Amino acid sequence: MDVGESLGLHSALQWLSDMQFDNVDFETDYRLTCDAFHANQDDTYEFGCIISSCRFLFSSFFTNSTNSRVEFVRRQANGVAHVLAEEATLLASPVVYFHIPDCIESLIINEML
Amino acid sequence: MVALQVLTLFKIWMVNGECIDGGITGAHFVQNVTVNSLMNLYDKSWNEEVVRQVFSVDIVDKILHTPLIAQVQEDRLIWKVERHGWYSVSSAYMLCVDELVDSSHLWRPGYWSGIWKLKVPPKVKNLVWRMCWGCLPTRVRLLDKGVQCPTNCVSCPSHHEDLAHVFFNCPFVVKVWQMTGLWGAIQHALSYTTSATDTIFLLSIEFNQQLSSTFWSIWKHRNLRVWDDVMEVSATVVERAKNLVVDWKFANVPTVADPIPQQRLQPSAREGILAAIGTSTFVTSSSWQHHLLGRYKCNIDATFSSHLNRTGVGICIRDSEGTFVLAKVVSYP
Repeated sequence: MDVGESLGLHSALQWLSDMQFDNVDFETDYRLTCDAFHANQDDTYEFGCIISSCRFLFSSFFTNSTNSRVEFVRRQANGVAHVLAEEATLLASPVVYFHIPDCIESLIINEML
Repeated sequence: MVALQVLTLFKIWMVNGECIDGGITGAHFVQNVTVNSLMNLYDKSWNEEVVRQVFSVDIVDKILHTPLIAQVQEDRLIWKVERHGWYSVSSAYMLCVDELVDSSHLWRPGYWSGIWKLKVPPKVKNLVWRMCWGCLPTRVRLLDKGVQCPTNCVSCPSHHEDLAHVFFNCPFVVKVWQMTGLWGAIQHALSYTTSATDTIFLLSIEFNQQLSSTFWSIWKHRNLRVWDDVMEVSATVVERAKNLVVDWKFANVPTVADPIPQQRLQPSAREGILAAIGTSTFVTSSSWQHHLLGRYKCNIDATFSSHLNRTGVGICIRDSEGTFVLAKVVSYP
Protein backbone atom coordinates (compact mmCIF):
# COMPACT_ATOMS: atom_id res chain seq x y z
CA MET A 1 0.00 0.00 0.00
CA ASP A 2 2.48 2.67 1.10
CA VAL A 3 4.99 1.34 -1.40
CA GLY A 4 2.49 1.90 -4.21
CA GLU A 5 1.77 5.45 -3.15
CA SER A 6 5.44 6.28 -2.83
CA LEU A 7 6.06 4.75 -6.27
CA GLY A 8 3.45 7.17 -7.56
CA LEU A 9 5.35 10.14 -6.19
CA HIS A 10 8.58 8.70 -7.51
CA SER A 11 7.32 8.26 -11.05
CA ALA A 12 5.80 11.74 -11.00
CA LEU A 13 9.06 13.29 -9.85
CA GLN A 14 10.96 11.34 -12.46
CA TRP A 15 8.64 12.28 -15.27
CA LEU A 16 8.44 15.97 -14.47
CA SER A 17 12.14 16.31 -13.95
CA ASP A 18 12.74 14.59 -17.30
CA MET A 19 10.53 17.24 -18.86
CA GLN A 20 12.35 20.03 -17.04
CA PHE A 21 9.29 21.33 -15.26
CA ASP A 22 9.74 23.74 -12.42
CA ASN A 23 7.46 25.52 -9.96
CA VAL A 24 5.43 22.43 -9.39
CA ASP A 25 3.24 21.54 -6.47
CA PHE A 26 3.06 17.81 -6.10
CA GLU A 27 -0.06 16.69 -4.35
CA THR A 28 -0.71 13.28 -2.89
CA ASP A 29 -3.65 12.15 -0.77
CA TYR A 30 -1.55 9.63 1.08
CA ARG A 31 -0.42 11.11 4.36
CA LEU A 32 2.39 8.64 5.03
CA THR A 33 4.17 9.38 1.77
CA CYS A 34 4.03 13.09 2.38
CA ASP A 35 5.15 12.84 6.00
CA ALA A 36 7.97 10.45 5.17
CA PHE A 37 9.14 12.73 2.39
CA HIS A 38 9.48 15.63 4.81
CA ALA A 39 10.92 13.58 7.65
CA ASN A 40 14.66 13.29 8.00
CA GLN A 41 14.84 9.66 8.94
CA ASP A 42 14.07 6.75 6.66
CA ASP A 43 13.08 3.26 7.46
CA THR A 44 15.23 0.50 6.10
CA TYR A 45 12.61 -1.18 3.98
CA GLU A 46 11.45 -0.68 0.43
CA PHE A 47 9.32 2.29 1.37
CA GLY A 48 12.25 4.15 2.92
CA CYS A 49 14.40 3.49 -0.13
CA ILE A 50 11.77 4.85 -2.51
CA ILE A 51 11.21 7.89 -0.35
CA SER A 52 14.90 8.70 -0.08
CA SER A 53 15.17 8.25 -3.81
CA CYS A 54 12.23 10.67 -4.21
CA ARG A 55 14.01 13.18 -2.02
CA PHE A 56 17.16 12.79 -4.06
CA LEU A 57 15.27 13.38 -7.32
CA PHE A 58 13.48 16.34 -5.86
CA SER A 59 16.58 18.08 -4.57
CA SER A 60 18.63 17.48 -7.68
CA PHE A 61 16.14 18.45 -10.35
CA PHE A 62 13.93 20.99 -8.72
CA THR A 63 16.81 23.24 -7.84
CA ASN A 64 14.56 26.03 -6.71
CA SER A 65 13.24 23.71 -4.12
CA THR A 66 11.49 26.63 -2.48
CA ASN A 67 9.39 26.86 -5.63
CA SER A 68 8.34 23.26 -5.77
CA ARG A 69 6.61 21.41 -3.00
CA VAL A 70 5.28 18.05 -2.03
CA GLU A 71 1.98 18.48 -0.25
CA PHE A 72 -0.84 16.52 1.25
CA VAL A 73 -4.38 17.06 -0.04
CA ARG A 74 -7.61 15.47 0.94
CA ARG A 75 -8.82 12.64 -1.18
CA GLN A 76 -11.76 14.68 -2.46
CA ALA A 77 -9.32 17.20 -3.91
CA ASN A 78 -7.35 14.49 -5.66
CA GLY A 79 -10.16 12.97 -7.69
CA VAL A 80 -8.54 13.41 -11.08
CA ALA A 81 -5.43 11.49 -10.12
CA HIS A 82 -7.57 8.81 -8.53
CA VAL A 83 -9.56 8.20 -11.70
CA LEU A 84 -6.34 8.08 -13.72
CA ALA A 85 -4.81 5.58 -11.33
CA GLU A 86 -7.83 3.31 -11.70
CA GLU A 87 -7.46 3.60 -15.44
CA ALA A 88 -3.81 2.63 -15.09
CA THR A 89 -4.55 -0.76 -13.57
CA LEU A 90 -6.35 -1.70 -16.78
CA LEU A 91 -3.49 -0.71 -19.05
CA ALA A 92 -0.45 -2.82 -19.73
CA SER A 93 2.03 -0.07 -20.50
CA PRO A 94 2.47 3.55 -19.44
CA VAL A 95 0.46 6.08 -21.40
CA VAL A 96 0.99 9.82 -21.66
CA TYR A 97 -2.05 11.90 -22.51
CA PHE A 98 -1.52 15.14 -24.40
CA HIS A 99 -5.24 15.84 -24.52
CA ILE A 100 -7.73 15.44 -21.76
CA PRO A 101 -8.68 11.76 -21.55
CA ASP A 102 -12.43 11.14 -21.49
CA CYS A 103 -12.44 9.66 -18.03
CA ILE A 104 -11.38 12.89 -16.32
CA GLU A 105 -12.82 15.46 -18.67
CA SER A 106 -15.83 16.37 -16.60
CA LEU A 107 -13.82 16.39 -13.38
CA ILE A 108 -11.26 18.79 -14.84
CA ILE A 109 -13.95 21.12 -16.13
CA ASN A 110 -15.73 21.05 -12.81
CA GLU A 111 -12.58 21.93 -10.94
CA MET A 112 -11.82 24.82 -13.28
CA LEU A 113 -14.99 26.59 -12.24
CA MET B 1 28.73 3.92 -5.82
CA VAL B 2 30.41 2.34 -2.86
CA ALA B 3 29.15 -0.65 -1.00
CA LEU B 4 30.51 -2.95 1.63
CA GLN B 5 33.92 -1.37 1.40
CA VAL B 6 34.33 -1.52 5.14
CA LEU B 7 33.84 -5.23 5.60
CA THR B 8 36.50 -7.78 4.95
CA LEU B 9 35.44 -11.10 3.48
CA PHE B 10 35.32 -13.05 6.72
CA LYS B 11 32.86 -10.82 8.51
CA ILE B 12 29.15 -11.56 8.43
CA TRP B 13 27.78 -9.95 5.29
CA MET B 14 26.09 -12.55 3.16
CA VAL B 15 22.41 -13.29 2.85
CA ASN B 16 20.81 -14.83 5.99
CA GLY B 17 23.67 -13.55 8.13
CA GLU B 18 26.16 -16.12 6.87
CA CYS B 19 29.89 -15.62 6.57
CA ILE B 20 32.78 -17.26 4.78
CA ASP B 21 34.60 -19.84 6.83
CA GLY B 22 38.09 -18.53 7.64
CA GLY B 23 39.48 -22.06 7.27
CA ILE B 24 38.96 -22.40 3.51
CA THR B 25 42.02 -23.11 1.42
CA GLY B 26 43.85 -19.99 0.39
CA ALA B 27 42.15 -17.94 3.07
CA HIS B 28 45.33 -16.04 3.84
CA PHE B 29 45.44 -14.65 0.29
CA VAL B 30 42.17 -12.83 0.75
CA GLN B 31 42.56 -11.94 4.42
CA ASN B 32 42.40 -8.17 3.97
CA VAL B 33 40.27 -8.07 0.87
CA THR B 34 37.10 -6.09 1.28
CA VAL B 35 33.75 -7.23 -0.06
CA ASN B 36 33.48 -4.50 -2.64
CA SER B 37 36.48 -5.86 -4.53
CA LEU B 38 34.20 -8.67 -5.68
CA MET B 39 31.83 -6.26 -7.37
CA ASN B 40 31.53 -4.40 -10.61
CA LEU B 41 31.33 -0.97 -9.06
CA TYR B 42 30.00 0.76 -12.17
CA ASP B 43 26.69 -1.07 -12.04
CA LYS B 44 26.88 -2.54 -8.58
CA SER B 45 26.68 -6.20 -9.41
CA TRP B 46 28.79 -9.18 -8.44
CA ASN B 47 31.83 -9.75 -10.58
CA GLU B 48 30.90 -13.33 -11.21
CA GLU B 49 34.11 -14.17 -13.00
CA VAL B 50 36.29 -13.15 -10.08
CA VAL B 51 33.99 -14.76 -7.53
CA ARG B 52 34.06 -18.07 -9.39
CA GLN B 53 37.83 -18.01 -9.67
CA VAL B 54 38.41 -17.39 -6.00
CA PHE B 55 35.80 -19.47 -4.22
CA SER B 56 34.37 -22.94 -4.26
CA VAL B 57 30.95 -23.61 -5.74
CA ASP B 58 28.89 -23.49 -2.55
CA ILE B 59 30.40 -20.17 -1.47
CA VAL B 60 29.97 -18.74 -4.97
CA ASP B 61 26.32 -19.62 -4.74
CA LYS B 62 25.87 -17.81 -1.44
CA ILE B 63 27.73 -14.74 -2.65
CA LEU B 64 25.77 -14.49 -5.87
CA HIS B 65 22.52 -14.83 -3.95
CA THR B 66 23.33 -11.90 -1.71
CA PRO B 67 21.35 -9.02 -3.18
CA LEU B 68 23.02 -5.74 -4.03
CA ILE B 69 20.66 -2.81 -3.86
CA ALA B 70 21.44 0.07 -6.15
CA GLN B 71 19.72 2.66 -3.96
CA VAL B 72 21.95 1.98 -0.98
CA GLN B 73 24.71 4.55 -1.10
CA GLU B 74 26.47 3.84 2.13
CA ASP B 75 26.79 0.75 4.24
CA ARG B 76 25.59 0.67 7.76
CA LEU B 77 24.56 -1.87 10.29
CA ILE B 78 20.83 -2.26 10.61
CA TRP B 79 18.88 -3.29 13.67
CA LYS B 80 16.18 -5.34 12.04
CA VAL B 81 13.51 -4.97 14.71
CA GLU B 82 13.10 -1.22 14.26
CA ARG B 83 11.78 0.11 11.00
CA HIS B 84 14.36 2.88 10.92
CA GLY B 85 17.17 0.43 11.59
CA TRP B 86 18.66 2.04 14.68
CA TYR B 87 19.10 0.09 17.87
CA SER B 88 16.90 0.93 20.83
CA VAL B 89 16.68 -0.69 24.23
CA SER B 90 12.90 -0.86 24.16
CA SER B 91 12.82 -2.79 20.89
CA ALA B 92 15.47 -5.17 22.21
CA TYR B 93 13.33 -5.70 25.30
CA MET B 94 10.28 -6.41 23.16
CA LEU B 95 12.31 -8.86 21.12
CA CYS B 96 13.41 -10.67 24.27
CA VAL B 97 9.90 -10.83 25.63
CA ASP B 98 8.40 -11.97 22.32
CA GLU B 99 10.96 -14.44 21.13
CA LEU B 100 13.34 -15.49 23.85
CA VAL B 101 10.96 -15.91 26.77
CA ASP B 102 8.20 -18.42 26.29
CA SER B 103 5.03 -16.65 27.35
CA SER B 104 2.59 -19.02 25.69
CA HIS B 105 1.38 -20.37 29.02
CA LEU B 106 0.12 -16.87 29.84
CA TRP B 107 -1.93 -16.68 26.70
CA ARG B 108 -5.67 -17.08 27.06
CA PRO B 109 -8.21 -17.32 24.29
CA GLY B 110 -10.69 -14.52 23.94
CA TYR B 111 -11.52 -11.36 22.07
CA TRP B 112 -8.99 -9.26 23.99
CA SER B 113 -8.52 -6.55 21.41
CA GLY B 114 -12.26 -5.93 21.54
CA ILE B 115 -11.86 -4.70 25.11
CA TRP B 116 -9.29 -2.09 24.18
CA LYS B 117 -11.36 -0.94 21.23
CA LEU B 118 -14.31 -0.05 23.44
CA LYS B 119 -15.25 3.59 23.26
CA VAL B 120 -15.25 4.16 27.00
CA PRO B 121 -12.90 5.80 29.52
CA PRO B 122 -9.69 3.82 30.19
CA LYS B 123 -10.77 2.97 33.73
CA VAL B 124 -13.74 1.06 32.32
CA LYS B 125 -11.59 -0.84 29.84
CA ASN B 126 -9.23 -1.70 32.65
CA LEU B 127 -12.09 -3.04 34.73
CA VAL B 128 -13.43 -5.17 31.89
CA TRP B 129 -9.95 -6.50 31.25
CA ARG B 130 -9.52 -7.41 34.92
CA MET B 131 -12.91 -9.14 34.86
CA CYS B 132 -11.97 -11.21 31.82
CA TRP B 133 -8.58 -12.01 33.27
CA GLY B 134 -10.25 -13.13 36.48
CA CYS B 135 -8.14 -10.90 38.68
CA LEU B 136 -10.84 -8.63 40.05
CA PRO B 137 -10.55 -8.76 43.87
CA THR B 138 -13.94 -10.18 44.70
CA ARG B 139 -14.13 -11.65 48.18
CA VAL B 140 -13.94 -15.25 46.99
CA ARG B 141 -10.88 -14.35 44.97
CA LEU B 142 -9.30 -12.57 47.94
CA LEU B 143 -9.81 -15.61 50.12
CA ASP B 144 -8.08 -17.72 47.44
CA LYS B 145 -5.08 -15.48 47.86
CA GLY B 146 -5.06 -15.87 51.62
CA VAL B 147 -6.74 -12.61 52.58
CA GLN B 148 -8.91 -13.07 55.63
CA CYS B 149 -12.28 -11.53 54.84
CA PRO B 150 -15.95 -12.46 54.88
CA THR B 151 -17.28 -13.95 51.65
CA ASN B 152 -20.82 -12.67 51.80
CA CYS B 153 -22.24 -10.40 49.14
CA VAL B 154 -22.75 -6.81 50.21
CA SER B 155 -26.13 -6.44 48.54
CA CYS B 156 -27.84 -9.74 49.25
CA PRO B 157 -27.77 -12.62 51.75
CA SER B 158 -25.60 -14.81 49.50
CA HIS B 159 -22.33 -16.05 51.00
CA HIS B 160 -20.40 -16.43 47.83
CA GLU B 161 -19.23 -13.14 46.30
CA ASP B 162 -17.44 -14.21 43.14
CA LEU B 163 -17.27 -12.67 39.66
CA ALA B 164 -20.46 -14.31 38.41
CA HIS B 165 -22.36 -13.29 41.51
CA VAL B 166 -21.21 -9.65 41.55
CA PHE B 167 -22.07 -9.02 37.92
CA PHE B 168 -24.80 -11.48 36.97
CA ASN B 169 -26.41 -13.47 39.77
CA CYS B 170 -27.01 -11.04 42.62
CA PRO B 171 -30.71 -10.01 42.71
CA PHE B 172 -29.68 -6.37 43.04
CA VAL B 173 -27.62 -6.57 39.86
CA VAL B 174 -30.38 -8.36 38.00
CA LYS B 175 -32.59 -5.40 38.80
CA VAL B 176 -29.91 -3.05 37.42
CA TRP B 177 -29.66 -5.01 34.19
CA GLN B 178 -33.42 -5.09 33.86
CA MET B 179 -33.55 -1.32 34.17
CA THR B 180 -30.93 -0.89 31.45
CA GLY B 181 -32.79 -3.26 29.17
CA LEU B 182 -29.75 -5.48 28.76
CA TRP B 183 -30.97 -8.37 30.92
CA GLY B 184 -32.30 -10.30 27.94
CA ALA B 185 -28.93 -10.26 26.20
CA ILE B 186 -27.15 -11.30 29.37
CA GLN B 187 -29.53 -14.17 30.07
CA HIS B 188 -29.01 -15.29 26.52
CA ALA B 189 -25.23 -15.27 26.98
CA LEU B 190 -25.51 -17.03 30.33
CA SER B 191 -27.49 -19.84 28.77
CA TYR B 192 -24.50 -20.75 26.61
CA THR B 193 -21.88 -20.99 29.31
CA THR B 194 -21.53 -21.21 33.04
CA SER B 195 -18.25 -19.35 33.32
CA ALA B 196 -18.55 -15.64 34.05
CA THR B 197 -15.43 -14.87 32.00
CA ASP B 198 -16.84 -16.64 28.96
CA THR B 199 -20.08 -14.74 29.38
CA ILE B 200 -18.23 -11.46 29.35
CA PHE B 201 -16.44 -12.48 26.17
CA LEU B 202 -19.67 -13.64 24.57
CA LEU B 203 -21.17 -10.28 25.35
CA SER B 204 -17.99 -8.66 24.13
CA ILE B 205 -19.01 -9.40 20.56
CA GLU B 206 -21.61 -6.75 21.04
CA PHE B 207 -19.74 -4.96 23.79
CA ASN B 208 -20.82 -1.42 23.82
CA GLN B 209 -20.56 1.65 25.94
CA GLN B 210 -23.67 0.99 27.95
CA LEU B 211 -22.77 -2.56 28.89
CA SER B 212 -19.20 -1.90 29.95
CA SER B 213 -19.98 1.29 31.81
CA THR B 214 -22.73 -0.56 33.70
CA PHE B 215 -20.13 -3.15 34.73
CA TRP B 216 -18.05 -0.30 36.02
CA SER B 217 -20.96 1.27 37.85
CA ILE B 218 -21.87 -2.03 39.51
CA TRP B 219 -18.33 -2.49 40.74
CA LYS B 220 -18.33 1.11 41.95
CA HIS B 221 -21.52 0.41 43.86
CA ARG B 222 -19.98 -2.64 45.47
CA ASN B 223 -16.85 -0.74 46.52
CA LEU B 224 -18.81 2.19 47.90
CA ARG B 225 -20.79 -0.26 49.99
CA VAL B 226 -17.71 -2.07 51.27
CA TRP B 227 -15.42 0.85 51.96
CA ASP B 228 -17.61 3.90 52.54
CA ASP B 229 -20.72 2.15 53.76
CA VAL B 230 -22.80 3.95 51.15
CA MET B 231 -26.13 2.39 50.25
CA GLU B 232 -27.35 2.95 46.72
CA VAL B 233 -30.52 2.01 44.92
CA SER B 234 -30.34 0.32 41.54
CA ALA B 235 -31.54 3.44 39.75
CA THR B 236 -28.44 5.29 40.97
CA VAL B 237 -26.21 2.61 39.51
CA VAL B 238 -27.95 2.83 36.15
CA GLU B 239 -27.87 6.60 36.20
CA ARG B 240 -24.12 6.71 36.97
CA ALA B 241 -23.36 4.40 34.05
CA LYS B 242 -25.43 6.60 31.77
CA ASN B 243 -23.76 9.80 32.95
CA LEU B 244 -20.34 8.30 32.51
CA VAL B 245 -21.04 7.65 28.84
CA VAL B 246 -22.62 11.07 28.29
CA ASP B 247 -19.74 12.93 29.98
CA TRP B 248 -17.15 10.94 28.15
CA LYS B 249 -18.79 11.55 24.78
CA PHE B 250 -19.04 15.24 25.54
CA ALA B 251 -15.37 15.46 26.50
CA ASN B 252 -14.37 13.72 23.29
CA VAL B 253 -16.17 15.93 20.82
CA PRO B 254 -13.50 16.91 18.29
CA THR B 255 -12.64 20.58 18.48
CA VAL B 256 -11.29 22.66 15.61
CA ALA B 257 -7.72 23.64 16.33
CA ASP B 258 -7.23 27.40 16.49
CA PRO B 259 -3.84 28.25 15.04
CA ILE B 260 -3.95 31.99 15.73
CA PRO B 261 -4.51 33.28 19.25
CA GLN B 262 -7.81 35.08 19.08
CA GLN B 263 -6.96 38.02 21.31
CA ARG B 264 -4.31 39.24 18.86
CA LEU B 265 -6.78 39.56 16.02
CA GLN B 266 -9.03 42.41 15.13
CA PRO B 267 -12.68 41.42 15.36
CA SER B 268 -13.11 41.60 11.58
CA ALA B 269 -10.13 39.33 10.98
CA ARG B 270 -11.46 36.84 13.49
CA GLU B 271 -14.76 36.78 11.69
CA GLY B 272 -12.93 36.15 8.44
CA ILE B 273 -11.12 33.19 9.92
CA LEU B 274 -14.26 31.79 11.43
CA ALA B 275 -15.94 32.11 8.06
CA ALA B 276 -13.02 30.31 6.49
CA ILE B 277 -13.37 27.51 9.01
CA GLY B 278 -17.06 27.38 8.26
CA THR B 279 -16.49 26.84 4.56
CA SER B 280 -13.84 24.25 5.28
CA THR B 281 -11.10 25.93 3.26
CA PHE B 282 -9.12 25.62 6.45
CA VAL B 283 -5.84 23.72 6.94
CA THR B 284 -6.27 21.36 4.00
CA SER B 285 -9.06 22.12 1.65
CA SER B 286 -11.36 19.36 0.60
CA SER B 287 -11.80 20.57 -2.92
CA TRP B 288 -9.25 21.19 -5.62
CA GLN B 289 -7.73 24.66 -5.30
CA HIS B 290 -6.52 26.91 -8.08
CA HIS B 291 -2.98 28.06 -7.84
CA LEU B 292 -0.77 31.08 -8.24
CA LEU B 293 0.20 32.20 -11.73
CA GLY B 294 3.07 30.44 -13.43
CA ARG B 295 2.87 27.40 -11.25
CA TYR B 296 1.99 23.87 -12.07
CA LYS B 297 0.03 21.49 -9.98
CA CYS B 298 0.71 17.81 -10.15
CA ASN B 299 -1.81 15.46 -8.58
CA ILE B 300 -0.68 11.94 -7.82
CA ASP B 301 -2.59 8.91 -6.70
CA ALA B 302 -2.20 5.15 -6.65
CA THR B 303 -4.80 2.39 -6.61
CA PHE B 304 -4.54 -1.33 -6.12
CA SER B 305 -6.46 -3.93 -7.96
CA SER B 306 -6.42 -7.15 -5.99
CA HIS B 307 -7.92 -9.34 -8.69
CA LEU B 308 -5.49 -8.10 -11.33
CA ASN B 309 -2.72 -7.91 -8.74
CA ARG B 310 -1.56 -4.58 -10.08
CA THR B 311 -0.79 -1.15 -8.79
CA GLY B 312 -1.89 1.76 -10.91
CA VAL B 313 -0.46 5.25 -10.66
CA GLY B 314 -2.16 8.33 -12.06
CA ILE B 315 -0.41 11.65 -12.53
CA CYS B 316 -2.11 14.79 -13.77
CA ILE B 317 -0.44 18.15 -14.42
CA ARG B 318 -2.49 21.31 -14.61
CA ASP B 319 -1.52 24.95 -14.84
CA SER B 320 -2.46 27.79 -12.54
CA GLU B 321 -5.87 28.17 -14.17
CA GLY B 322 -6.66 24.51 -13.73
CA THR B 323 -6.29 23.81 -17.44
CA PHE B 324 -5.16 20.37 -18.37
CA VAL B 325 -1.48 20.21 -19.39
CA LEU B 326 -0.42 16.58 -19.37
CA ALA B 327 -1.38 13.33 -17.73
CA LYS B 328 0.31 10.01 -17.40
CA VAL B 329 -0.73 6.60 -16.19
CA VAL B 330 1.72 3.92 -15.15
CA SER B 331 1.04 0.47 -13.79
CA TYR B 332 3.17 -1.96 -11.82
CA PRO B 333 4.33 -4.61 -12.18
